[in-house]
Amino acid sequence: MFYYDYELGKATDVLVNELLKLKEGETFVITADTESSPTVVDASARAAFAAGAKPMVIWLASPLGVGKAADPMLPVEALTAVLKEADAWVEYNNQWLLYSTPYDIAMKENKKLRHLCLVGMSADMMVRCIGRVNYPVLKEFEEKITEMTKAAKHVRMTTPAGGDVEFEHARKNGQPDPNYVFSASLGYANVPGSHMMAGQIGWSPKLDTINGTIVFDGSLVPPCTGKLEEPVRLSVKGGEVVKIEGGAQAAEFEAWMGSFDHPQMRRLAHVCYGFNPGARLSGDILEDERVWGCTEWGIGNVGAILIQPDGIPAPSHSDGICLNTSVWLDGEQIMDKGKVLVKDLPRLAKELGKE
Amino acid sequence: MPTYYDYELGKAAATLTKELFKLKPGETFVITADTESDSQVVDATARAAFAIGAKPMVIWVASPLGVGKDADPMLPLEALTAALKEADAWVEFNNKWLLYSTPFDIAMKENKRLRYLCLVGMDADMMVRCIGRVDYPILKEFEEKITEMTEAAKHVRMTTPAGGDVEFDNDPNHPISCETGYVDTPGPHMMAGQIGWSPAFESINGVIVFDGSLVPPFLGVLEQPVKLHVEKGKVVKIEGGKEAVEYEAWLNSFDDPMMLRLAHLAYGFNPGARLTGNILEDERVWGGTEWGLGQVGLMYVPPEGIKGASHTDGICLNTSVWLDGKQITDKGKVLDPTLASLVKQLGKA
Repeated sequence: MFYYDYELGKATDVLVNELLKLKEGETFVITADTESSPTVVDASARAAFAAGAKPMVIWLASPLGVGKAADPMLPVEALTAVLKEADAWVEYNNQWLLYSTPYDIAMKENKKLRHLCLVGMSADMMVRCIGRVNYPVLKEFEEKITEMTKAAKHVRMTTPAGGDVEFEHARKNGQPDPNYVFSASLGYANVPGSHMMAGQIGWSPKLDTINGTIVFDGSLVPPCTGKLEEPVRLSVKGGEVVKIEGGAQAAEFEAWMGSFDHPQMRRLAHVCYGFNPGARLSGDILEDERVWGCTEWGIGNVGAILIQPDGIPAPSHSDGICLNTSVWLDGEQIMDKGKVLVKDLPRLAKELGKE
Repeated sequence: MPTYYDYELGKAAATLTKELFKLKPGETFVITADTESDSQVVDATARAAFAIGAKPMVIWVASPLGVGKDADPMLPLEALTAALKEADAWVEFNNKWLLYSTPFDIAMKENKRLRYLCLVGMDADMMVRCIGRVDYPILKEFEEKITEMTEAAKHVRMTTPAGGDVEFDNDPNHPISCETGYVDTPGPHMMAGQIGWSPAFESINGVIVFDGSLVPPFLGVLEQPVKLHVEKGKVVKIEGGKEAVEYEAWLNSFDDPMMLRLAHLAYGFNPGARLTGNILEDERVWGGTEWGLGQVGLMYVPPEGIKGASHTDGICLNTSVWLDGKQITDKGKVLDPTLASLVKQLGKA
């Protein structure tokens, strides 16, 4: 018996049956690198086989970077060829393939491919953030809070660490601008395309309206690895970071930002709510950005999925976590230090174990 | 604490990737395995490939219920084929082998650069003995000399201590396939230490006694010998115990006359091979001979081979061989004085 052996079996059943909805005879590719957890990989293959699918597990050496930076170290042609023929693909690589060339080609050319990004997944995280989640309830919760947020014109967010920031939503003809997408990750990966772990809702505000103070007290990746040792405080004017305060990690972050010598690297890109009931602050950004009641701010490149059609290009992107956020939508407080307050959200939160 | 043969396996995997495959930096090296494979062997091989700068891509699949094309319905066919078509080199550790499956056939036909090595059902123990501890340049010289001598002979007789006594003529149109272990050229390759060919079929007469293993239909080493009486290349009588009865029933179950005809024979000359019940190893036991029945591979009778419903291989241990009346081995020991020094260097004197 290994750590969480039984629970992992259940979590992988949830993964393949409930989330990916694997069907008999489907080719299910599981990719991993030498930094991945073999117990997670093996349990997933086992569950897929039990569901009648054909698991095909691919282990690779760990590249020294992620996305396209990994390309030169990957068996690009053979990996691309496999992904182009897969029905479903879960990615456990710690040095992720997301946005690598094999990923880009497979997503473009394999119209049936369902991809789920679970990079760097461990047995512990798998059990808490996937296996023990009530997906129908979480979906209802996430869809409600997304709808409320999208309807608001003005948002204010504060945190116990001293954050106090406000912004407006982009609007067109008196309605929310349809080019500014609210993307809610519900965990399901049953339709073609790329899917993320459940419990994150991301969007880009009208970027030049962002003003105030943002304090990162969770993690800040890149450039810092693991949990932050002390908070990093950003002063923001018109969407631009005008001052960074804190300790050694604040200095590290400022140096990293400056190193690109690119104006967009000093500008905010998006904000996200974290609402995975099992997520804990662990130093792994995949999990940290989903800690219940946190908010995440991204800086730098804006993805085309958030501001259509092209996003805003920048040489890199960084994400920082603000824990226990209080949120006001058009003056009405919907969250208090990470607890949801309004309508039937508290009931759903209670069902999710987050009273 | 090391796992069984941990250090030796590291060396064997280095031999495999460097000396045999001659992997180059940047090459895509696909390693396939199924859930019956030895993960220690798979991991050691990927490690060795990575150390020399290649890109190992390890592919695990569920174990199909059959081998070759029988495995097709249970394999992720398209995705597997696609990967193999893009590989530079491929070692197969699957226990339920992909050899002759549809992905294998397509990859071999369409990927002209693919170097393939069949090491089906390999375990740490066999890998160390049959791959890691082999002196390849010497074995190659030995095998090529024996092949040359055999090719030159018109008539061959083989006897075994278990009562085998069979003779046949060679057919100059049937090539002799000599497996020296190297996988540095495109195409399929087998583990070192086997030399196989098809005689002139109608000329095969006598008695063949299997006393090693007999696969299919049996798993593991035979409990009692199975004795075949052969006339003009055809099995006319089968004697022995329970296994002989079962074997005869199995051959007849195909209702195919080819299943009662001899297809090829092979010398076993891998210095590390032992009788273990794994046919990959058993057919290479030093001084043994193997006879196949049923379908004839295209490498033995080019260009197309001879179709048959299935194929079975049986092992005859400690064979004595006469080439045109001159004895070259005696109960598995090589007698020819020109080979003595090579045999000694291989540890089989």
